[in-house]
Amino acid sequence: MAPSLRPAAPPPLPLARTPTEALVNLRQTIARLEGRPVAEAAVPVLRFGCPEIDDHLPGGGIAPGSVNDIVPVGYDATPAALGFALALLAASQGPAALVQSRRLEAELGQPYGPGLQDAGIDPARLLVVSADSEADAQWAVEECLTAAALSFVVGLLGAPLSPTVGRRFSLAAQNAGHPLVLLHPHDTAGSNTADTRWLVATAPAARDRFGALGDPRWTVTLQRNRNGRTGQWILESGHGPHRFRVVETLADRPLPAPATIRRRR
Amino acid sequence: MLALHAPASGGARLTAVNVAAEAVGLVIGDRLADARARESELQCHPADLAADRAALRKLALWATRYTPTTALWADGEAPDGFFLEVEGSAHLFGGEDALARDLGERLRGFGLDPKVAIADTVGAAYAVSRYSLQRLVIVPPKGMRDAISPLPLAALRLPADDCATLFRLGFKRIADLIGKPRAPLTARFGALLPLRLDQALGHAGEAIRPQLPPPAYQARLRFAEPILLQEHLIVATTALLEKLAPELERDGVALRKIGLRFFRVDGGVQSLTLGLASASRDARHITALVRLRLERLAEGLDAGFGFDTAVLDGLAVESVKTAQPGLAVQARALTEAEHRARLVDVLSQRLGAASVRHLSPRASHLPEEAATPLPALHGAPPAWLPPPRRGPRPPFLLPRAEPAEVMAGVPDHPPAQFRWRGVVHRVAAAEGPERIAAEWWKRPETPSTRDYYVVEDDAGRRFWLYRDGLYREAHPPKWFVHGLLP
Repeated sequence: MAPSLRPAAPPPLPLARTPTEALVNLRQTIARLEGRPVAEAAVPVLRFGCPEIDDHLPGGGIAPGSVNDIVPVGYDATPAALGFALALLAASQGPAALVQSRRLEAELGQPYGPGLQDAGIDPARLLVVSADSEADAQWAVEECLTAAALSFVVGLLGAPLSPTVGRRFSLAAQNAGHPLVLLHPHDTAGSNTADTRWLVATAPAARDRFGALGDPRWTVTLQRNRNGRTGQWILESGHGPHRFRVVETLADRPLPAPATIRRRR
Repeated sequence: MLALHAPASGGARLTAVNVAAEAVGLVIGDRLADARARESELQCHPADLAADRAALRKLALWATRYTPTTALWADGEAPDGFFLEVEGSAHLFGGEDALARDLGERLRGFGLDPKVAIADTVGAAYAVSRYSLQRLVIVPPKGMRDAISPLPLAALRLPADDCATLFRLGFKRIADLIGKPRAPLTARFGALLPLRLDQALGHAGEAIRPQLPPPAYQARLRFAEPILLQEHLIVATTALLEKLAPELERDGVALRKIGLRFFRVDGGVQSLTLGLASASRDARHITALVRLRLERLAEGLDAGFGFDTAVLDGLAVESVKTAQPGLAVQARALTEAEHRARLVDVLSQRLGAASVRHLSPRASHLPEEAATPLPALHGAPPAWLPPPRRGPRPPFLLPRAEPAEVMAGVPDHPPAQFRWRGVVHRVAAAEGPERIAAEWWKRPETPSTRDYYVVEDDAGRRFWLYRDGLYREAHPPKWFVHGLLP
């Protein structure tokens, strides 16, 4: 009898009760077909806490094992991009590493405990690593990813990544199962294997009714999003459980009736 | 014909002569002027005693390949020798005789002309090695008296004046002193004379001050052939750790800081010191760290003609709780703290201990002193209390406050416009001031008060600025940018 030449049947789709569940099932099936690790439901994603953004991301937040690029729009936006990276760090739990190349140390400064506390990060969680050269910084990021001791890694890089290193980061993050956040210099394109890429620019903050400064605001563009939609928002960083508030959705929004458009002052 | 000289009472005297000079009858201690008059071809150079001492120290360090305890001859003794404490290690080299022979041969190999003596006491070994006519003397146990009796009194390490006086009194040799009534001698020459005699004969103890503190745990390895490759050093390190492991396990301790010394064939020593974030006996982990350290050294260890001996010292050990391994075959999973310690070890070895740190709080009102980095190798991260009510702080602080040119209203208005790093920023909104008085109780000079402002420029960028001082004084206060807010 001739052997069967038919390709293996695709795995059967489990029945779903809700549309969300159906989407999750579909994504897992695609991940299995592509040979990517399937995101376990038990590992929590890192939620922004605002549905406008979380709905754009495939797992409802920053997925474990993902590489997330943050690129400032222009040199001046670097502190804002750093703030965005730290806000993600603040939303995570457990021990974390902050790897910094020395080039950035002269420009941005060094991690400062009281300020990190203000940003909602317990400094005791952090292992701060400075690297003299870019190669050392990349090595340290990879080493921190492969260590089982940490649950979140932030890399502040001073130079563009080579595709090989980007691929290594991506593999290491997938194996480790915790997210990597990379802050790139403003004039680079980010890493080639990033799951999400966020462009961050500064935006003027609101004034309260006494004229005092409100919380800082950033214009955040989700420029790249694997298996998800892109978008652009003006975010306000807050305190407590709601770290982010979407002030304005700039793109990818349904057209509202003209009367309900809110105007920015 | 070569001689070295050093200033002494009554003019410079020779301190060293070479073989050719010795052959024509020049002796150490001759006057330089006399020697020059006698031998017109004599080349004279002033002696560099500090360099001599340094070279001797290096040689004594090399000699730690035989024993952990080596000590240079102290002040008041001749400046050209060192002691080795070989009591516990002679058997490793095939006995005292073989050790002395090996030592002598190697030193001759370096182009030196050594005299080696082994005796039960420090004093006797010194006396025999310095004043015996033979190149190699091994004083039999309890044979000190016979060995030192014929030697001159200077062999007792007495001040030169005392020796000269004793000589005039008719005491030519040590034998003349042994058994003489002590009271008159002590009354005339002090307690040192009988003490030195007793020390040489073994009636009184004497301690030597070792060059390196002797480690509690040590393993050494000698190679039949000199090794040159980094890979071989790693293998040697693994072997040393495995050699040391049973001893550590027996005592229930693990290594916290180790020293590795590699002895070169030509007499050099290369040493590495490694600290560990948590005590470990794991040979694989420690050799991985050694490998990282060797890779960090830009040009590697200078191996010269190769290393022929390796020594591992346990410089600091900590007692650890050993869990009884279960019956299951698989290795015990590491705890989170152990994983963290290993990561810290690895990072610290490649990047340097100061580059891997925890943040530690400090009680200070000055922002730059309220936190200090602490090398992560020192242990667990310190805990932080919730922050007190105060103004905002930037998550990253500039290494030092950078001066800015500011336009601001007098006396305490926030900046209206400022120039920093060559860029002019127009201030759109500001918050402040947060006044921080200087810590006058810590610094004696009168420090200035700072007023901190958070300002946002027209593009939404935020800065943390302060004014150093008040406008009361004659000279206007300066402004600084201290951090960037997100």
